[in-house]
Amino acid sequence: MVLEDAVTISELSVNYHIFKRSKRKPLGEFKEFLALKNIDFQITKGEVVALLGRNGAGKSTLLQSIAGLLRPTEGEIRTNGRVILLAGTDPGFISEITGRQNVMELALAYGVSNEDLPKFVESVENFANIGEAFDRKFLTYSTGMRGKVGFGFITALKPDILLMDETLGVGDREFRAKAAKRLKKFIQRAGTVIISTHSLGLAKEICSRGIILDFGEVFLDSNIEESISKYVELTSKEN
Amino acid sequence: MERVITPESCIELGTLTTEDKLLDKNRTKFILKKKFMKISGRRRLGLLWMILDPIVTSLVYLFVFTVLRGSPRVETIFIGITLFRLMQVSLKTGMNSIDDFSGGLRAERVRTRVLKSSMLRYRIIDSFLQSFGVALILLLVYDLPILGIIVFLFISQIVGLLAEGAGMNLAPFAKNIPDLKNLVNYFLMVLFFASPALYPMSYAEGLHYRLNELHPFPYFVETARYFAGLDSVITDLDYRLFAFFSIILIFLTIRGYALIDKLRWRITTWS
Repeated sequence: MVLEDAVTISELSVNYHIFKRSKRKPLGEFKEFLALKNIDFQITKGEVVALLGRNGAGKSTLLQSIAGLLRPTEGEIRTNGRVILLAGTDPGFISEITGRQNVMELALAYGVSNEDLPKFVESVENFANIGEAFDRKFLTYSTGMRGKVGFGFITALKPDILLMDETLGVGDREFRAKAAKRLKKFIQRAGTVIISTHSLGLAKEICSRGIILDFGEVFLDSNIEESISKYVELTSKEN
Repeated sequence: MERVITPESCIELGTLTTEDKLLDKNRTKFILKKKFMKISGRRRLGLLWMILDPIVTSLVYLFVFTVLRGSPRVETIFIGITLFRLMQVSLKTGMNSIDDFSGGLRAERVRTRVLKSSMLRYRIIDSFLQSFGVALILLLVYDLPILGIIVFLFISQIVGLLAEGAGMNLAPFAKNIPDLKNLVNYFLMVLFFASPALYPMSYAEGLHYRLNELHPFPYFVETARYFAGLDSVITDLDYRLFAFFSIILIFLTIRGYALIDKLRWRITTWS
């Protein structure tokens, strides 16, 4: 049986162009900052991969590149299927309309069909569990409430390739437990998943493979157990 | 759906399915709604302000002119200010178009055709709303001919579209050097008083008149005034220059829209 690739990355490098002002150049200039260098790997359909690395290692840049939101400086990325990036909990809400209206409008914009819409809205409403506030204007929501609706919304979508960038930081303890449960279901449904996380427990539980990024380069690409132990080694050396 | 991401482009292989087209249509609707909600959502009168704003502005200038000196006809000011405002707003929208190429949808890349379609529709609706109220006043209160009203509404659309197109060509420069936005603001401020927005072009003399022949706005505003039966020098102006400006602006507009895909890709790593 030939396994089909969901994501193929070849010799990928990404540079940011950052505006800087200095004493020597008071009018400022653009400087290049290397965020990713020579990244090369494939991810097979159905694989769940953990992206490990210290802050600033390039994890978020890599996910944004795969989502087609960042232009590579060199190399190529091929994705096969619909890609959704779960980074933060705002898929694009409009502050001036209610939570329910937002979910309905956004759902159509994210490809939910008219037939599936009532079920979709119900799923988000039940998960967010914010009571009558669901029918209040979005601008009156607290950060926690926005997070609940946002997380509920994104995890109700059905992507082929799911890219996740550390999103469980919202809400109270009870919500986080509920979110973790929903996330696992979402991951199972998504098929191919790449998770950027610092939570080694979560990575070990749901991923079969781990890729460690360090200073914008792939430090290790192996099975999850080896990747976690190397990552622990790498970070403990630093301490 | 297979997507290939390279330094040159981010493209989807294959043709769009009916589902894809429906998705794009829904996204265009969503982006438009988001844009209009942002402008009107928290105001009591909502979108009505887009119609009222040019009327109120025209009335303010009309008052100033009446107090300061013998004013031109009210209709002349209404047409001039509405078209100038449209040019100003559209130019700035074009220059700022680069600021958000996500369309407000943050979890998935939106196709460029959705962005183009929503920008174009927004421009048409915005231009219509900004000129509709004035057109109604000109028709009902000042009894201008129907043909004049239709030409005014048509020219409003043209001015909006061409100015936004021209602005889009300036967008990458404005992103690189934001100071350009200040310069454009000052330029527009001078142009507002120097060009025949507040008075018919026949009021201008000598060098002032010559300079007005050398930029496109007077040609559009004087054409609108001519068809409205107002004081206008359009028949005295050189139609070859008008054709030249029109061709340049049409070229810039087509170029602006054609460049969106390349531009949105190029700026993703700029900060």
